[in-house]
Amino acid sequence: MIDITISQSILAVVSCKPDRMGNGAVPVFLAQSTEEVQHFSATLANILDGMAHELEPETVIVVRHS
Amino acid sequence: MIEKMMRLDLYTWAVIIGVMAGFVTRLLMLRTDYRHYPTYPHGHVMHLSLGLIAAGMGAVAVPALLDRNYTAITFLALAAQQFREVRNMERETMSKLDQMELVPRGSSYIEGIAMVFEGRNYLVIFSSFITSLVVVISHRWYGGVIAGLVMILVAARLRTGKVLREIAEIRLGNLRWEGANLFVDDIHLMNVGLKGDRERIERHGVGVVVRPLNDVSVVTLANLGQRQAILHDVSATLGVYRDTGDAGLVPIAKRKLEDGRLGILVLPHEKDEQKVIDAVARVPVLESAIRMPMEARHRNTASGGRGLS
Repeated sequence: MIDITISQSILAVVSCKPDRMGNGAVPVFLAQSTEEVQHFSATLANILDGMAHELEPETVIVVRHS
Repeated sequence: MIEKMMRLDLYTWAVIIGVMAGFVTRLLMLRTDYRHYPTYPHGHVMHLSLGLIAAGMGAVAVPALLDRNYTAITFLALAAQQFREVRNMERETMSKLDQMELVPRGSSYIEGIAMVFEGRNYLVIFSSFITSLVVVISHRWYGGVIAGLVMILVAARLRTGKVLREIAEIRLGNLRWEGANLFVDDIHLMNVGLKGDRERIERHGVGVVVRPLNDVSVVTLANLGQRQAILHDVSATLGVYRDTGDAGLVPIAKRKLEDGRLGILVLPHEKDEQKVIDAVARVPVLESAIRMPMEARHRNTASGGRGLS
């Protein structure tokens, strides 16, 4: 297994505030509600092996720390 | 001829008692606990046989030197080389094993353990050397037995390092949330984005606050290796509620910059707060983490009381 990790980087952004999102290199997932934000970010955190951090209740980022 | 026999006999005694004293010293210093790699039978055999070799070296050196066989000292140097090799081996193996740990030891802890392995062999050489020297000087085999016992006691004293309890006050902290931010008392630990993770931390997490007792221990507790050692030890003794992919459930230790207190979140498998406190209190203070700022002259005038709030 080749072990390539990108550390300390934002892997994904999940939000239900589309007007606050700019154009960036990070995938943005738009959700309909804060419940969906939680659901999406939990799944993404699991898949990407990253940790979810809350910027505000409507926006969660998934970050890889190691 | 008889005189020669007597001398030979004395030297034989010196070697026998010296080796025995050294071996018993190593046996006493062989502790099997969660810290060690590798623990059972093979680890024991490995360390005891190395201890026996070390004891032999120390014991034989005295008669050899007294016989003006000064090349004997080069063998001691050779032994030192070998034991340093052992330390490298321990370090490498433990570093590799560390990658498979849910809460790794960290390189400072590994270095500390490797250092102890090497140091113990030197203690064995020292104790058998002194014992065998006493036998030769006192011309009595039981003189050596007494010296051996004293050396064993000295070694037993030397092997014990400090534990965290001696440099800091450890008590339970109150885990609380400010939005998504997790605090233990007033120390910010981390931001947890997922509600599920927050609930699990509330159910399984235990908050601990470690308050350094003086200026020196403030610096020791600030060391990242020391903090990792605390997290590893607690996780190793009490188990850890965590798996791969659960990046949100991570034991963490953060420092309050104002006074040097440590806020710790651990996720023991079995939530017993008293056991957590005991486990933290028993964490060894890493040699590599100890700094002595008070020994430096310019710090003597610095205000005391930091960390005593």
